[in-house]
Amino acid sequence: MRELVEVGVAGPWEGLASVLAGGLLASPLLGMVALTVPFLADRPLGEDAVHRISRVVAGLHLLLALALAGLALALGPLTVDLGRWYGDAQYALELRLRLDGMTTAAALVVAVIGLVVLRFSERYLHREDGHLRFFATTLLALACLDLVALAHELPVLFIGWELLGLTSFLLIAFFHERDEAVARGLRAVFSYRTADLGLLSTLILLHAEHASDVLGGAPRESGLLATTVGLLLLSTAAGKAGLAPFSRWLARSTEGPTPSTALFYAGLSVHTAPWLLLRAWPLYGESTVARAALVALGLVSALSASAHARTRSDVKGAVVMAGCAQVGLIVAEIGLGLHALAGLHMVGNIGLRVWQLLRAPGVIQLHRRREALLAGTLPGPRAVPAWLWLWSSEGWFEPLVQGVVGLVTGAAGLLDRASRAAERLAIGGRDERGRP
Amino acid sequence: MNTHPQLWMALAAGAVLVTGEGIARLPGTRSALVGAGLALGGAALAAALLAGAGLVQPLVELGPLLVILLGAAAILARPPSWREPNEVGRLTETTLLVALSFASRDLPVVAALWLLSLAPGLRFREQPGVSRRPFGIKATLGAAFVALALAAPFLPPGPLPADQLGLLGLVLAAAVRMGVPPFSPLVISDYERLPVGRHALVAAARPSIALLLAGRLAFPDAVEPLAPALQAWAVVAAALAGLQGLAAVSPRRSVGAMATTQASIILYGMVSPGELGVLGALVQWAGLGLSLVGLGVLVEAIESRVGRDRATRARGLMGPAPGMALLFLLFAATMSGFPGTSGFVGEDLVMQAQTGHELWFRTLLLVATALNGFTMLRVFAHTFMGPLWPDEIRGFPPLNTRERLVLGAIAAAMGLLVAAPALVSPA
Repeated sequence: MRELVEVGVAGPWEGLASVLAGGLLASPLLGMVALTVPFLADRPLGEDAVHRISRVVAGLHLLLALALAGLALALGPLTVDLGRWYGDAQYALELRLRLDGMTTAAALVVAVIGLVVLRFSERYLHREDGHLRFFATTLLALACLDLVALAHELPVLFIGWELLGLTSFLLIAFFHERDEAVARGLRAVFSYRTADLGLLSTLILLHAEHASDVLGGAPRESGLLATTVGLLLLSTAAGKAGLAPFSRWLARSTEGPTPSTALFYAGLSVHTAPWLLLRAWPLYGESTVARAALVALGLVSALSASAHARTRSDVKGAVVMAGCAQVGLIVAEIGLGLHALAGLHMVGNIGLRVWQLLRAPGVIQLHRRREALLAGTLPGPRAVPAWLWLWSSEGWFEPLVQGVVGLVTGAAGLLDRASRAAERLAIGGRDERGRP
Repeated sequence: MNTHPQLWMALAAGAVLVTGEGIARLPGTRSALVGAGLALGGAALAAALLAGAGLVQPLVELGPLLVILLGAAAILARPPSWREPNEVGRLTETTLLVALSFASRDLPVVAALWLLSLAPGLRFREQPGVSRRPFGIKATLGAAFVALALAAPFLPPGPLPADQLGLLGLVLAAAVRMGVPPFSPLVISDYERLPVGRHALVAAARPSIALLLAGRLAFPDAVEPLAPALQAWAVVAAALAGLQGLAAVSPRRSVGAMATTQASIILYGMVSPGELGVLGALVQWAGLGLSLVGLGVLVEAIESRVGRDRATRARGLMGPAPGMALLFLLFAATMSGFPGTSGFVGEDLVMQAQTGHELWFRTLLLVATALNGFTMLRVFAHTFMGPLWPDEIRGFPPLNTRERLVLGAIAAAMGLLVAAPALVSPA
């Protein structure tokens, strides 16, 4: 049913790529199982054991993501077939992943941010009631994000997308004994489920029209189908990223622990929305109406979220809404066809917002120490010179972080460009459908 | 004897089955359990041997074995102090009758077993506060529709051809029993009032699936002309039941509404012209059955600890019972078709069964699915999240070994179904 053109090399390298990609998806899931099974057998693991497992998994996850990125860079784009899940000759769900510069860079970002957040959470959630629950849910979320990042076809992306929504609910309502947290989690889920109807409708529409649901590449659909698909996907993306008119849930999503807020609402989860629009470009890129809608909604959301961020009295809410404003701009960039810029913008925004949120719990202490250092009543920390500490706490650290992030994103852009060139070489200057 | 050794072994297993059924009726908890074990084990062995020898062609691959697993889980769900020998006998009977209905392809035989399997349900309602009227209406309507279907070939010609009238009768009988709207009140009330474990088995085993499959075999040419109208009804029913779940306040009622939504989706698949829809409906039936029994076991476990009245209103159970919360989430996610569960596989296959000409059908199915997902999380949040109530459940005992074994077996079967949905493909 679905068209698939294999590019790149065949043989042992493809096998290796399958093993690595399968390992990338399986490692967080296995970590989650390793945490959950002893718990169900009434022998829950202690904090140290949980930390060891999460470190091993996050480290392995990062190594696998690096290896996949290296493989994609060295060999060019690859399509990895993990096998058929179900179906028959008439309809089947095949688990296929796409390994190219763009997707492996995204998987790398997921792995890096996942490692940082998990490591940060070890101390942040020390002796917290749901310690184990948090780590298990976060590992599941990482597997879902991997699936979203690497999916070759829309149905595979949908699986990760939906499960990500479930983990989002569990983490917003992490402090489950508080009614407010539960209510906000439910509000988020309601927005997700409503908006996800767009993605589900897209899948059904594509199947009904016998259109390919392969992601990535040049625009291939046109006319009413492209416009409809574009608008449906935009509605889904708006729900996931908290763009207008779904922004209310995002503003209230900061009830969960700070690391999960960093991972989801400032970092990776909200950026799956522009990622979906970027990857699904071939399905609607020919439609001027859909592209104009992207630009318009993106700009309106950016203005609205920016205004919202400036009126928030809490640092987490302000950071999340500022991140949302940037997501609005990214959506507009995608609508304008500036995909390389959108990719760089995404990685930069993720890095900056995650860093801001992880630093947020100590911001008051940071401010007091800065004041004390300026007044000369407190010596700076011994390990760090006072000038460096002051420099970083003054906010000059942010441009530095952005610079580093810019370098990483630049490298990712080069990786993407190189793999696209390799792809063109491999298919003899033709696109994915074999057209000149 | 040499040609069919499996037949003789199956006969021996059948003898074990009959002996077990007899032992199950003796007074005493132990004899009831031993008898039920022998009867179900004998039935499972007989089914496997006869199917292996090709002497019996079941309607669904592994269908009888799945029903037997559901029955065993429901019997073991209740704590020994609550278990009555008669109840074990009734559950065993229900399980065997439903399993047998999946082992035949002959419509009169399946219809007779379908009617017989109603009998234990009547006796389940012999308790104070439970009205027999909904059951009476359900049984009477169901029997009338089945009788209409069986009599259709002998009736004088009418506006509908005989085969279409026959299939319509079977579909209506199945819809009444499964609680497809507008018949859902007959079923949802059972979820509210009956002990959940027992009801979950009766609802989950769904002999109506066997009836519909036998009907498709008996009236093969009737499916295509009737499909558009029946599917339109099924999707509207699914959306309505989804809305009903959203509006329900009590968790039991919400679960009942979710089950009727899924029943409507199953009906949609079962009346679709292609095989894909039937496969989807069967996957949905198996996943839904397992998750319903799993939820039933969990509810029984909670009720046995805090009392039935309090269990309905209890909140914040995640603190004292995190393991139960996790399993509840797994079963409820399957019921509402979350990706990664067999519910998702079934729904996807059902939705993709046909291409092109009924987009609005599938749009309504999507709405029902979305509503179900939200209802599921709302029920989970209501029962397991929020401030703890009543306060004395703070020292809630964890799941015991028996409960863990039952729930573990159900979870393992669900995992198997997710990995290989074709296990329940139509034979």
